[in-house]
Amino acid sequence: MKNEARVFFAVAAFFVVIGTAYWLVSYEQAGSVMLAASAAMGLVTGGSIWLLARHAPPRTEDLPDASIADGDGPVDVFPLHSVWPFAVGLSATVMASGFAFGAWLVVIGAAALFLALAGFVRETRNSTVPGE
Amino acid sequence: MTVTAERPTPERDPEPQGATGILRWVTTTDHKQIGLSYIFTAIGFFCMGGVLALLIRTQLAQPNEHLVDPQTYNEFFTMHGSIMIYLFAVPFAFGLANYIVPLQIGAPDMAFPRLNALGYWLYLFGGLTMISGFLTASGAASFGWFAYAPLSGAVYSPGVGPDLWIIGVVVTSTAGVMTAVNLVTTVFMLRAPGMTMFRMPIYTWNMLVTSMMVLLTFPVLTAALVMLFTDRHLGTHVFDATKDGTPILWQHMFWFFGHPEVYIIALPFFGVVTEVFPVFSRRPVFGYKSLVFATLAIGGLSFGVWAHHMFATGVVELSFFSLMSLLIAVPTGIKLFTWIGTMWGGHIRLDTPMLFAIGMLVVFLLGGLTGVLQAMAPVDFSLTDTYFVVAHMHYVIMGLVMGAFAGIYYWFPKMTGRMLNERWGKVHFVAFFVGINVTFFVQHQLGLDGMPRRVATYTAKEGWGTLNLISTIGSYILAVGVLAFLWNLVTSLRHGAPAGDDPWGGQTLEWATTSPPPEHNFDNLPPIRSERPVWDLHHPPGADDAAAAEQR
Repeated sequence: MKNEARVFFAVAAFFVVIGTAYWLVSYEQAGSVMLAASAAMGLVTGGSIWLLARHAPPRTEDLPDASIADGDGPVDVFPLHSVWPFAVGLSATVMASGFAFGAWLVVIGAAALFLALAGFVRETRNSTVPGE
Repeated sequence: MTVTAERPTPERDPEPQGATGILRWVTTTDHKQIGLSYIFTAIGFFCMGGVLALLIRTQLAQPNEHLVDPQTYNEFFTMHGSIMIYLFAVPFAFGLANYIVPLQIGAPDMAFPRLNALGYWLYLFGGLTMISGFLTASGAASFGWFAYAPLSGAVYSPGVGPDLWIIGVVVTSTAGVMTAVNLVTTVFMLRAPGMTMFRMPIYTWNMLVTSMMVLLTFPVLTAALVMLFTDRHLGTHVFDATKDGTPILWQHMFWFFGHPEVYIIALPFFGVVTEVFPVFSRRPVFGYKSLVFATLAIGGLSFGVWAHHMFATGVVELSFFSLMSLLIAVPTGIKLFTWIGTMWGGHIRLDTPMLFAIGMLVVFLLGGLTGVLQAMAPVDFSLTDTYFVVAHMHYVIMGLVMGAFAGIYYWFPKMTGRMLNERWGKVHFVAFFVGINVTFFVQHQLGLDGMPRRVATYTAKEGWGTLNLISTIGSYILAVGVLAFLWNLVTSLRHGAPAGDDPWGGQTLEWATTSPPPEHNFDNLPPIRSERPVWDLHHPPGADDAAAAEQR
């Protein structure tokens, strides 16, 4: 997984270089802040992947000579159907458009969003990998 | 209901019976169905934006035309741009990626299927919110797709239409971030055994870089839009110069999103044609690693060029942005070079996907060249906000749209199990290619003649009538191409010739499964020993030499 981390580290390194150069030639604040924040994003994400990779055993997808059978076993749990994404999407949009039409719609949307999110989370809790 | 996806084995359980009809569509979390929903919705928005474009061109066909009044005209060009950028280009690219990326890396689905579905619904509802501005009394947003402050403030753009535009863009960009997170996680965590990072197809690489760019830019746009909204309604003065705010901050934030956005649109379709060129030239892709690093370089450099949209403001560092804008032509040139290198000496087959890929190469190159021209600040000073810029950016984007069509023709057989009709495909290609050039080439000259963009009409005295008429005729030729495509799509969905699993002689993993792929994608996977496992499978070592010897 170290190559994955390196991709994000490359992002961070690039933004450090370009951000420093930009600050030194322009002393302009908005762009410099955005470039610095981008560097931070690369560093945080890359760092967290690196920490994960350090303690994890090597994965078959990182081995150039792995055979398909080496990866036998469950990959992950994948839900087949769920109505909650639709519910969350709809209620979130209703809430957001309330900001244009009036506070009453925000309240309705927020209440619906709360219920939809609750359903979403309950579904997550009830799904388990067999054998775990 | 959940299933645990096993690594592919030859036997599979009977498919679980779920909901059918519209309920199935509403509740699906399958990346293929979501991908198709994205693609069809995006094509719907594309047609909507196209109709607006035709109305705009009809209004401009001759001097003193009054098809629509200036306010409506402003709404039309604003919504044309907004629909094409926010509701077509990015969502279409993400829809295609949703379908193709898991297949190319041998994954059973996206990493977060329900987040994926949520992304689609937010995109659809956000898009509807944006265009619903047309139904309000004050009309849709009319401040241009980049919504410059102070024009986009409450004083100059009152009413609920602009608010709906802001909310729509916030909601759809949230959807974009979700899909980007999902794609990055999928590529990092769900690759098949043996599919190392440097064996991933170039298309997957391009979508990875695109997703990372979305993660860096869309939050900036969202933040700027929220500030704009609070300026309009909650009494803040972030962009209000009369109360110590800085309107120029909007431009910085918008273009920090807006320029990388050009490459967020470009990289996916660069990826598509990089899949098409090798397959239709019967060759491996030329310079795999240099393509990967060129993609990374384009992604990176695109973050250092945002203020070349702001040269005329007089408050940006011209030399820095000129240099960076010129530099980005280098990795783009490397890509063009590798594409030509891939075709060089190959057995080229001019099927429709290949035609569109070559068309993209030509049109995008023309757009890119005028971009290099405008990277030089003195040139930009005289050309900014003229039709020259309109011509440049449409050449760029229409090039990418050709890439999008290449992707549709290339992967339609995989998605549906049927071929698109080749004859209609060629009609589509010819009309589209001719239409682009007739419509937009003359606009370069209109810009040089001084015609400003975004004017609702002009007088006969300026002498812009002939070129505008040519441009309008071109836009109708373009529309004929799109109609041919839609007809082809509708008829081929029902009556297209059966495609088989691998109609093109593909090289990457998606061609190893059935068309359309089963739930969770693969019944069995070939061993992955290079960046083109399916080619390796069909051409075992030694077999080619034996065939060649036989021919001799």
